[in-house]
Amino acid sequence: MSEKLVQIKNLVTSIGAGERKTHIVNNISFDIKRGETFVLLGESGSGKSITALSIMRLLPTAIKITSGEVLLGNKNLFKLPENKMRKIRGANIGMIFQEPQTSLNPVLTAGQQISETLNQHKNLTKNECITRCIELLTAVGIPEPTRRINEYPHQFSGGMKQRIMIAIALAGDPDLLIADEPTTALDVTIQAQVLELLKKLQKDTGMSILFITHDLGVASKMGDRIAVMKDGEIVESKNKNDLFSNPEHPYTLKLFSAIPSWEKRMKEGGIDATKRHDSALLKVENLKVHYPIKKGFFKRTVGHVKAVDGVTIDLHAGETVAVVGESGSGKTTMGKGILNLLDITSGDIRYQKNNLNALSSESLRKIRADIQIVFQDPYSSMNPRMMINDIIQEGMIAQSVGDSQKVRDEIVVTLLEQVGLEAEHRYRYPHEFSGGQRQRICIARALAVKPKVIICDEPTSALDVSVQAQILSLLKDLQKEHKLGYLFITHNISVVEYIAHYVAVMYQGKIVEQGKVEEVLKNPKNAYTTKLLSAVPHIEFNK
Amino acid sequence: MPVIFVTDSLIFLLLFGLVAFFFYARKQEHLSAPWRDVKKRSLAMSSAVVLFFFVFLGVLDSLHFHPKVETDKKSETIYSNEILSVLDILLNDLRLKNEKTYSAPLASYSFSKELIELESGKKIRDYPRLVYGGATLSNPENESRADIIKRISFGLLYGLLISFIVINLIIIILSRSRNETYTTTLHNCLNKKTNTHWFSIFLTISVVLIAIAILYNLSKNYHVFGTDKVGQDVLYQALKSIRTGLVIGTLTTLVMLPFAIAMGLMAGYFRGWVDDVIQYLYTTLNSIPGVLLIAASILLLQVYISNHADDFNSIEQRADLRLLFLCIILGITSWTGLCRLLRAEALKLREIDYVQAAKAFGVRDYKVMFRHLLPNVMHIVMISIVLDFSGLVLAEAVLSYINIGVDPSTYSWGNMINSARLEMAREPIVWWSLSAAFIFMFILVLAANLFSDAVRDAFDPRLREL
Repeated sequence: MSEKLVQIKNLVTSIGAGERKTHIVNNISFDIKRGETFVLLGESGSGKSITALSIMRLLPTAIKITSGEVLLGNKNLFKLPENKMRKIRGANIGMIFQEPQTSLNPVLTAGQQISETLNQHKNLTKNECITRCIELLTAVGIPEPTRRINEYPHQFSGGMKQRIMIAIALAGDPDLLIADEPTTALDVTIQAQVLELLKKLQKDTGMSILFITHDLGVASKMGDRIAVMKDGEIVESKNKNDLFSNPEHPYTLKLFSAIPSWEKRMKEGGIDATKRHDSALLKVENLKVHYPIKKGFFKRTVGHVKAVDGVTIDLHAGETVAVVGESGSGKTTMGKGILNLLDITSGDIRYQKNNLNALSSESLRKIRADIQIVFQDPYSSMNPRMMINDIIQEGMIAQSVGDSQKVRDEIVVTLLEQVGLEAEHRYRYPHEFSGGQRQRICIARALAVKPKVIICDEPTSALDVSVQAQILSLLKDLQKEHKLGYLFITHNISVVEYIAHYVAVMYQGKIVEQGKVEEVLKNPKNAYTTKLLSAVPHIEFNK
Repeated sequence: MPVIFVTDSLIFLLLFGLVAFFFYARKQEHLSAPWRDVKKRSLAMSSAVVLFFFVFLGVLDSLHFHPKVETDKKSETIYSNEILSVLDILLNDLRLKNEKTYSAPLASYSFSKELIELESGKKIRDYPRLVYGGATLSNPENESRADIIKRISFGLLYGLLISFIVINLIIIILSRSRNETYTTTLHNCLNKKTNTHWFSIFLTISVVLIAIAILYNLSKNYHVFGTDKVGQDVLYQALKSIRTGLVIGTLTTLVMLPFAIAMGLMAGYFRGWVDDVIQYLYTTLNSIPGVLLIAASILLLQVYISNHADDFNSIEQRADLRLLFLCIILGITSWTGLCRLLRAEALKLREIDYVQAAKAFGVRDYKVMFRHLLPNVMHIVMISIVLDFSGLVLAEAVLSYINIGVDPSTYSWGNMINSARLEMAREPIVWWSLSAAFIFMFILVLAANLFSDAVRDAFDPRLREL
């Protein structure tokens, strides 16, 4: 068991040349033993994926391996000619990627894509090849493999596609499987299944896995040994149990403390008691958003996609109502429906005394100041061609907040300071800021029109854990200060534990369970809620 | 007495717009950064210099006036009916030195045999001497080669001298503005250490100036590109055609741009019935053969002109109107491509979070389109303007060739090719009209294409990141 399968020694990769040369991976060394799972854990930009791609020698052309060596057995992979390396890929080292939607070729069937690798590395007859494909599909848990072998990628769900990717990676019987964030694009319940599958396959075949993730829960579930990466360097590398029971490096400690959870919330003061006042600020009743499915020559409506199907939610001032659900459950559609950014099919959205969908467009325009939204992707939520000052003032001008340019400028300065940025930042463009800073600007933009309700549409899911922690505590502080009501849309249960007062679990357009956060999360009554909660990877280790 | 044609005024409007855009773009980081990138590219800067010379000639050719007529009485000035441009005056030599008929490039004798009466009274059939071509030579058969070589080498010398002076002037101005010594600026430019690729600019300037000097020196005594059927200098025709090419290439875009942008953005942003109407409009327009539409409208215009003959004082005015009309009709048939692109882009952008955020703020639709959509599709507009340019110059040549292009009295490369076509079967072949049109068109279109390639690369965000 303790034989070293792969050794990475002093690996350095860099981008650019001359003065602008920067190291992406800076002098890292580790080894992977036969049959173990080695986890590279780190935030985005820490060089995890580049390390994996360096081992495969599949780096983008702009990035070069500067020095170091990768030994597979006693072969130095960096010294091999490309045609020999091609034999290693697939046969000795298999790889699966983050996004199953784009890593499969949409015009080839599942069977064709698996046999591509088989033909490359094994000498099989056509019939043997098909048999082997079916075996592989059975191994990765695809039901009815004989039929599904001839289906195309679009006929499979996301989790199924990732299973097929795994089957392709396993086709060459690799000794090492590199899994680059294989479950990040998947829902928690699917994630749990895929992780379970990987573990089972490892037990069956005895292969080693290099597992790359940013998720501490996943890392603790999968890893035998874990290396924490930061800025291209490994800051701490230990056995799993040692790492979690006794983290030493300050960065690791910071990473652990950033994870939102019950414990963290209790430490910071528990659930601040919120008593629901007599009247709700925002009352959504039986909201439905249906999309017609049109077919045939005359585009007759043959049915409906029920994106949101009868949702009822109350939101009071100063509280956070979390809407939890997996992708495709209709959370975002509901948020946009409440804001009247898309047409709703039926239902009432009452804000204070007004029925939002019965208002004229002019009176709705005035009320828009009170209900604002913060989006998931901080990169696409600001016009790249506008300065921060103009971005924040856009809503103020549209809602006539602040009488003159001077007043508005002053408000912008206060807002920026409120969200933890500096006044001089307002004359910069969005691309000059990091993801977390951009999300702060988006929050400042929403606050500029003095809203009472903010719909937070996954505001932290594109951010790293440490940045997520900052944004969450900023949102908490702002809530206390301005008595804001948050409708917090998320798929992340630990964020719900940390920030929500009430929680609504959404599944296929319907709310299956809602109530106080401690009741729903501790004693789920609905079967789906139970399943969802049990699938969440929590940090698990033996002291 | 100055005369301003409609196309002249539009050209100056366009120039003014360009200058205004230049100053606007200098202040906007997201617009000036890609242009700085363009300035670093050697090929792009060379093409820009070539384009500049073309535009310069085109602008000179757009300053029209009635020349004064020399009269005995000094008290009153009489203007002739003729309309000339500044370029005509500069090219007086070429314009007025007309031969009888065809003559080959740099020839001293006519192209075809004629009956010549000798001093002795005897009549022979021979190639007559040209009136202007090689007129200074007493025995062209022996002397002309030496004379041509002499003129070329002197032209080369003058060209070198002039370009040396021009480049030095530029370097002096540069060093002044940067507070450097003359030698450091020179050193930086020659070693390509400047942000703008001055080295290639200087190289192209020298090449162009030398070419001009040689052409000038030769054309004092020869027809460099020969003469056409009525004995007019082909070089003069080719130079006069530059304006036509530029007008078609730029004004057409100017005509179609507002349609394409407004319709494309509206279709993509509003969707629904607005989208349907606009889509029907451009699919309908697209399904009518363009040539048919152009032929029909040109015919319409001709009928209109002949019915309202009083409104048009001169042939030039009529020709100019036809040129403008051609631009408009080409514009109307060509806006659909850009419109489709912009619609697709707007469809994509309207779902992007910052547009949704603006809607959530209650920002009005026209403001959203103007502030969020327009700046973010500007790169597509810019690229298609530059790419369309060369296509339109070529389209003019094709249309004139089938006689539905510009007025036959307008100088254009298409007309040159069209008239040369009739002589293609002649033996020995009359090749120079065709070649001259080809060379000029080739240089302009190649320069425009290379330049637009660089612009497209610079504005492509995917390429910019690396």
